[in-house]
Amino acid sequence: MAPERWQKIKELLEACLERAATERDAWLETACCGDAELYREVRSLAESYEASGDLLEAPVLGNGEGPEQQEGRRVGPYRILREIGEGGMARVYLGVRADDASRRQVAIKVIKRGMDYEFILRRFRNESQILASLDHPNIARLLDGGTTGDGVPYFVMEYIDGPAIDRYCDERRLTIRERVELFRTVCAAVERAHRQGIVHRDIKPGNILVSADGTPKLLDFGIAKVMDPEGWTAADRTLTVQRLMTPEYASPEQVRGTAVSEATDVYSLGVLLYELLTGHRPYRLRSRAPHEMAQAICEVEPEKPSTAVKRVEEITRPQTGTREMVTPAQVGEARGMAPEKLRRSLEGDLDNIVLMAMRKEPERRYRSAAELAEDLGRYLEGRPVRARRDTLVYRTEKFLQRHRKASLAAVAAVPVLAPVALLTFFWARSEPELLRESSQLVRTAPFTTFQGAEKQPALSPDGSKIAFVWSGPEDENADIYVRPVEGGELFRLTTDVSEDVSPVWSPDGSRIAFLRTGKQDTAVFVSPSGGGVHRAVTEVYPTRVEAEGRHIDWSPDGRWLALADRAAAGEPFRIFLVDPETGAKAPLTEPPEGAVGDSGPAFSPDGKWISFLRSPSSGITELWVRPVEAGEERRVTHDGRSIISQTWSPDGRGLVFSSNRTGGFHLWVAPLWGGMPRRLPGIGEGASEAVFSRDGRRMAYSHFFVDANIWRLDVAGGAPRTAIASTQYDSSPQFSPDGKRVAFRSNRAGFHEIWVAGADGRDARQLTRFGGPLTGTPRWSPDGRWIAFDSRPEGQADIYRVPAEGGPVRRVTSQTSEDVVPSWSRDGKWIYFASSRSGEWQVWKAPVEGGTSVQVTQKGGFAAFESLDGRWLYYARGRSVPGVFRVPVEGGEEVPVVPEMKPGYWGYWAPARDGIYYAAPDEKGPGGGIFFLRFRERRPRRLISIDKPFAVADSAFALSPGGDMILFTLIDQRGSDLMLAEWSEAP
Amino acid sequence: MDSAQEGVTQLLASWSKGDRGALERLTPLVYGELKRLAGRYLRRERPGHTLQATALVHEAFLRLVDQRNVEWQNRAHFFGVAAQLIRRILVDHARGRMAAKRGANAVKLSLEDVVETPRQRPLDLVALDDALDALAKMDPQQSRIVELRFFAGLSIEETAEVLCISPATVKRDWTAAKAWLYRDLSGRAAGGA
Repeated sequence: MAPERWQKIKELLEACLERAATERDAWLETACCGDAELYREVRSLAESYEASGDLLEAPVLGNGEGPEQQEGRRVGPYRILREIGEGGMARVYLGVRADDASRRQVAIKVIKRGMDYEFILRRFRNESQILASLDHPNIARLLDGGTTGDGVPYFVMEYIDGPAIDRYCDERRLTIRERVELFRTVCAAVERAHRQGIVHRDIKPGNILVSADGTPKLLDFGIAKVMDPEGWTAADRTLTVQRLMTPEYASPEQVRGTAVSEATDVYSLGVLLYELLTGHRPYRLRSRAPHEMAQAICEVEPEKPSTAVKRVEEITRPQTGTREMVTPAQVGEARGMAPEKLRRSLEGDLDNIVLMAMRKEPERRYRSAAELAEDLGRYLEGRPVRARRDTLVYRTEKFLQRHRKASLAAVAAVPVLAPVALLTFFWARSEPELLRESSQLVRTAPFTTFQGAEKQPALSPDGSKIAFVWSGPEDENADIYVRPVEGGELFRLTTDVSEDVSPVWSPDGSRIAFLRTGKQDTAVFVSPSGGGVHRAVTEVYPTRVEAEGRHIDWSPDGRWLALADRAAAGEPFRIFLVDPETGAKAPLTEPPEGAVGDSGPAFSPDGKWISFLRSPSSGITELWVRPVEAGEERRVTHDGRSIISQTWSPDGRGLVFSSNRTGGFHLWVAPLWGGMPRRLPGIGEGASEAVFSRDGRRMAYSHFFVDANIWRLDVAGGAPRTAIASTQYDSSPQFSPDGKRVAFRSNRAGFHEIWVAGADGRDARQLTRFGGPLTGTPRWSPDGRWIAFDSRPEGQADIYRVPAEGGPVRRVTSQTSEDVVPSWSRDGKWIYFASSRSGEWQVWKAPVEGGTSVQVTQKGGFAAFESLDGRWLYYARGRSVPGVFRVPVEGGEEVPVVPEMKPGYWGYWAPARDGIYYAAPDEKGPGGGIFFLRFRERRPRRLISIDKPFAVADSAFALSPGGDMILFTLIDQRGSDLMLAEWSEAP
Repeated sequence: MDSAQEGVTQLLASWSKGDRGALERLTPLVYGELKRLAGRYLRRERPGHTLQATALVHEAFLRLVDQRNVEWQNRAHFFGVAAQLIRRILVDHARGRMAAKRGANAVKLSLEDVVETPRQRPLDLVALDDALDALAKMDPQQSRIVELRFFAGLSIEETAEVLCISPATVKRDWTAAKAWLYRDLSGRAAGGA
């Protein structure tokens, strides 16, 4: 069955089953609009569903935790009556004490398997005294706790029979006033617990039940703490937050894993009030992906409640998973008010109160639940409330803090004159000036263009010289060189046979520190910057120095060197401060155990902060910052990508780093005080290791490059020659169906984009203009009118198509998975592509005109092509798995074609009529060969040998429609140069 | 962190970065742990207390993966693999028994006793396996939902989390999958297909 058809059937089935049995047929008949087959199918499925009963409902391997098995079971001294709820961590049962004549009902929370029982019990024993002492009419009492016969922990609580507070309010149609009053009772209970030193940590509607007499009762006080292993708090919190709490109600400090306090509950109370007042959630989350939630919670300002009530939104009820449309009319009705009147009653005071409780910074919220309740009391009495809008006052204060001497009078006067302009100005001030439009990048120019790789530039404090690393013209070991910025004599500072890397100047410019790795040891050395005796300061743990980026920084006051080190192999790297005179060392950062660790430190211009890279696991690096003195470590990026190097922007308001967060490596600026990282404008791909002069007008950076070109080979014979070439990266050739043109990818205009040229390489024309994200793998449609390709403008790779003659780009896939390497079916109706959406790389196909994608391969697949006659689908096994296979397009058994095809060469083959052409590297040396394997023959024939490397892991091979010519990519050169950028005014 | 933990944690990470070879190296590790845990559960077993797929998968995850160092996607991937493995273990076993009945040599699997022990279940796992393959051709997501819920014992919410979709979508797909599978299985039973 066609996937679109099945989609339609699914939707109809769901809608059909929602209707009463007697109405279904009639409804379905109308809904199917005379499509008798559709009607029969949905009807048959609806009947099957009704008949299916508990088919598959119980997991295959027993279900001892299911409610029916539990009934009558004993848990400690309690007997279970029935299950009343299930959360991520526990199931909740209604029970009675078996030996209790009064038969008082209790709620028993039994911890699910898979949790760390020992930890929970230890925590519970520590906390139980305090929790049991919590006696308040609005708090459900914790009565007991222990373990079942199987060693499973459980807690026993007062049983509350009633709906959750949000449902209660809606069912009773409580007015805004009544809701605020009920909410204040909740605040009072929270305040009481806080006074006993207990923080709830998981306040949400589901934890506040309202009994029949209208008394709200808070459940689970202190339970979150008992369940929350502290060991995780320093590490990635995502998992914990995801499992322990409802992410929608988690505070920024919980998401970040920093200190939880009473203010945490104040925040969650704010979210609760938001929802009770508006019927909406404060954040519109596009998905439940944890990093997106984390970002929303930590960075996005919630909409004002009075704005939110105007919204039409579909929300998912966490308890039931059902989706509901929330409309202004419905929200108003549940509060006994017309929508417009509701909006006006929220506008102003209630907006301000809610948003003040929900501020990102704990110290800027209400200081206690009592203060929040008091302010609501003022609102109810019609007195002026304390909460104020954040913007003007807050930003003015911030501004004054920064510029104490700036004229008070001006600030006082300006709002009257031009409040809008002033606001814009304040916003701009909090951003790094590098991102301001007024700071003009004047030019970027190469500083060195030597053979091989020059890297890790360090600007002298007066901005006149650059120290850097180079392996010399013969590409021997790495040494430190110094050269004046304005050009001139190259001075070689070190000549040792060791690898000398990562130079950094002392603040007075008299010395240069660097890392030296000999055969066994790595040590920090200091040398006079004009040359002289090198003095070893301290040994450090080897390994990481080979990485890109800068490994040492010198504090602005000259007292400390910062560098990454560790004591033993099993430990994570951490940043140490080293006294450059004595070599005394002290650890500074606290990476989580098991992490790869911290590296690449950089002092802020004022010397008070230190930023560094933290790698939770290999391949992923995030930016962190902390005070040089004691203080909290704060995460700046949440990308899950690689960062090579980082430094401070000259104004100290942001960090400049090199990351592949949208594909190729670029320089990005992350504002420290909120806001998303933005690309540093005007600097091309491959930039890293940026460093600024003190006046901020100059930036040195390294630019690594690969010159790859497209070569051409006539199948009939002859030497290969370049077909499409520039000094940049040209690859991914594809012939048009008539063989007259070639589409390819190139970054010759700065960014990787799709280009089209004549088959001879002439008249190259740029087709796409994404301006940044890696864009590549162009593939012609069979009629030659379209070109499909992959790109990542929003961070995730998707398939797009563009008219071959130019025109607007259309999106073909939009899942959050990586969708790459498209190719058309010969009938032009489908686009094949490789996708990670099933959790592993498989070939999928999407209907060109839109609709559901279908998985094609089952055992792994990547980079597919239909054969010329459209009968077979050829595909590589995977990105880094060997082998090319084929299956009949109609489906069937998979057959190996070139099983020995090397991993990473998924883009180096093309099916022909009677065989397959492909490239393979030689066992030794940089080059390889191009081969032809005739079907039914065992041994491939080598067409030609090549002494340059192929572009591994790229789509880089094409066979002309006439079968007479092959295009393929070769890497002609690669290396790294140093660059200088200059701004017109200090950024 | 012991070496198995380090291995699995890293393999999960490489796998989510697209290294398919990582999955191939990962599978035997997870498979081994699932078998080992199943055996341990059985020895502890008492009447009325049966092995639970959910517990099995959660515990394998806690044991094999370094909790402080795991990315959320890796956890989802792990559950996905575990569900597929349990399906494979059980279906292979069921096929083995069928073969044995026909007089061929029974395929010996060490998980044998696991499958013998739980309550009687009229469901034909081999037929279900075939039906799931057929369903996957039409709608792979539905097939995976059944795998996660039925074979790994995940709840609606957990399934939604693993697949990065909403619980509502899981529910809708689950309903349709049940209806379709019931019809398909009845057809197979009746027609012998």
